[in-house]
Amino acid sequence: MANPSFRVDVHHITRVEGHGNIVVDVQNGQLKQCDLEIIETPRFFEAMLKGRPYAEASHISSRICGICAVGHATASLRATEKALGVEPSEQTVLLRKLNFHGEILDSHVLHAYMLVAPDALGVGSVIPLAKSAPDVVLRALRMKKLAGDLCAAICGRHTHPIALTVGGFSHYPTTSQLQELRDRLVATRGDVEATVDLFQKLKLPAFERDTEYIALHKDDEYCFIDGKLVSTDGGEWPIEKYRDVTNEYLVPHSTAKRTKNQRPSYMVGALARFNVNYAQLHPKAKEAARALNLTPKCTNPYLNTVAQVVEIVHCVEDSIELAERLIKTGVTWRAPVQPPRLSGEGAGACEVPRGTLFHNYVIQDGWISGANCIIPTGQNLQNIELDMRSLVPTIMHKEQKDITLALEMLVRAYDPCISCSTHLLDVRFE
Amino acid sequence: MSCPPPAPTLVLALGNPDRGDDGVGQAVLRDLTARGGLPQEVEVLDGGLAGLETCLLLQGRRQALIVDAAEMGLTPGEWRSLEVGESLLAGELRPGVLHSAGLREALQLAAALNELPERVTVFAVQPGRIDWGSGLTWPVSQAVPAVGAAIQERILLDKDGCSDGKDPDHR
Repeated sequence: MANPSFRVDVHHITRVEGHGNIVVDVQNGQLKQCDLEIIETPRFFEAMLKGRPYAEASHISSRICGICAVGHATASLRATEKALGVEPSEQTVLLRKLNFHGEILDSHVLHAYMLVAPDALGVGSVIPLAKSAPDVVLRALRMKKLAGDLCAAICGRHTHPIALTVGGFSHYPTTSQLQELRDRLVATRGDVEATVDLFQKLKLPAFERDTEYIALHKDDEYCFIDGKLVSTDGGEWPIEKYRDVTNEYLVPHSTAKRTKNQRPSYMVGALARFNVNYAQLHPKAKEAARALNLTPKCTNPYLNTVAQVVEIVHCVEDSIELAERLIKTGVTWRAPVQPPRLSGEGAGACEVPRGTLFHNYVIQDGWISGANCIIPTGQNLQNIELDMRSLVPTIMHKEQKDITLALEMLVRAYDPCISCSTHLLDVRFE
Repeated sequence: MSCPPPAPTLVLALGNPDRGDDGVGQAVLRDLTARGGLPQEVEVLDGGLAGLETCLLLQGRRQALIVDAAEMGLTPGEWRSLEVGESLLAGELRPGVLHSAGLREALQLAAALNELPERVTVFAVQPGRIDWGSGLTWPVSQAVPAVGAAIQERILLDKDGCSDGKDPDHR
């Protein structure tokens, strides 16, 4: 079929969070339409935050997402703390990092094992995978449980943290809890190694499209909280200048805004972090990257999942070190740092599982008068669509089911959280 | 680090006590524990919102008695004991459900993993209100002792080797 005509209409794509459609229209070998439609209702969280006391913001905004609840709470707290001049203690910073690793692990394990591995292993979903490879699924469940228990010990719940508060914590883990977590993290190394082994064997599509990769960066650590924005195209921005990077705009076929920086699109998430911050990875994570044949700068978006596996190694190893440090220094109950002022503006940013998350608040006399949240999936949508436009001409000769699968796998590789971005995927053929 | 084998019988409460009648499982656990006299081979556990990780709680068990609120179109406080069989496990996973998996998906996954206990019974209680705030509605709170008694009776019958899979209090 030299000049194929077909229409792909996936309505909605499965194994992603939320609802979105892939619509591709090819006529006589010409790509006429290639859209990633996001069709979810806007969430209006920014409007909900307005008029609320500053102390409620992290609890309200953590409800944006059941997967990245710790990330939203942390970005919210950092925005509030910067607005009100609060400097958290070293103990608070360490506990937040440990909590954050728990959430990254939980999300990455779910995505890599339950959402991506079934495609790569040629089974339809996790249920047939459980039948054909129960050890693989049980391993994922064990790792997820540890990640959830880690979060619960630090922030009071597996998701939607209750102990995180402006200036510190309202609850602290005991030394014996930290010791148990540390021991379980050490014991999970076997499962982590098996995860690397599994993804060494999985064959993901070969597809390259260079783009701009953006992530938070610190010189002395693999950055998940605070830092500055750094692009692989060059350029650094303080978090407060996030609007200069995101440049949000609207498209007709999406209820989520798109973003662009120095090119028509950019990518955030595990692969972007890997490309920007490879030097700061834990040595064992670098070993895993070598074993997985992942080197910066990697321009295959399907390998975002492989970068997540590298981050699983990093987060487990860094969590062990954080736990040991906290055990050595001892966690002591400290009242949260009180704000020296009750009015101001602040922007907080974190690297949540799917990429860079921004919260920006204006607070007046302790009440939130303005809020802006920019979600990672929203920043990736235009990049996914441009990937699709680049991919389709290379696979036009294939059967429609294979084209659909390739497009679905591409979208899934980004691990999109469409409800949060208020966007999703539907591929239809005609 | 070796763990002792899990107790053969698990009584598992699922639900969020901060969502009104969704906390009925935990209330039944309190009732059951207060009755005392549970055999050693029975473990009582609050699973909260375990999701897919419910599979891990079921691993290595002979039977599981699960208490949860369930929308069944009944009058609030009415309850049923449901034996988990092929009909409850049938069907495909709902699209996108892995980000918000519930009991059905966890049981489906446990069955696929061959980790489903020989016998799984769900004690399902019709809620009146599932919304912000703790505490049960009056009709659901009235059902708690009856469900607790039914589970106790089932455990004791099982201990005496009399339970044949037909719950004497099955409604």
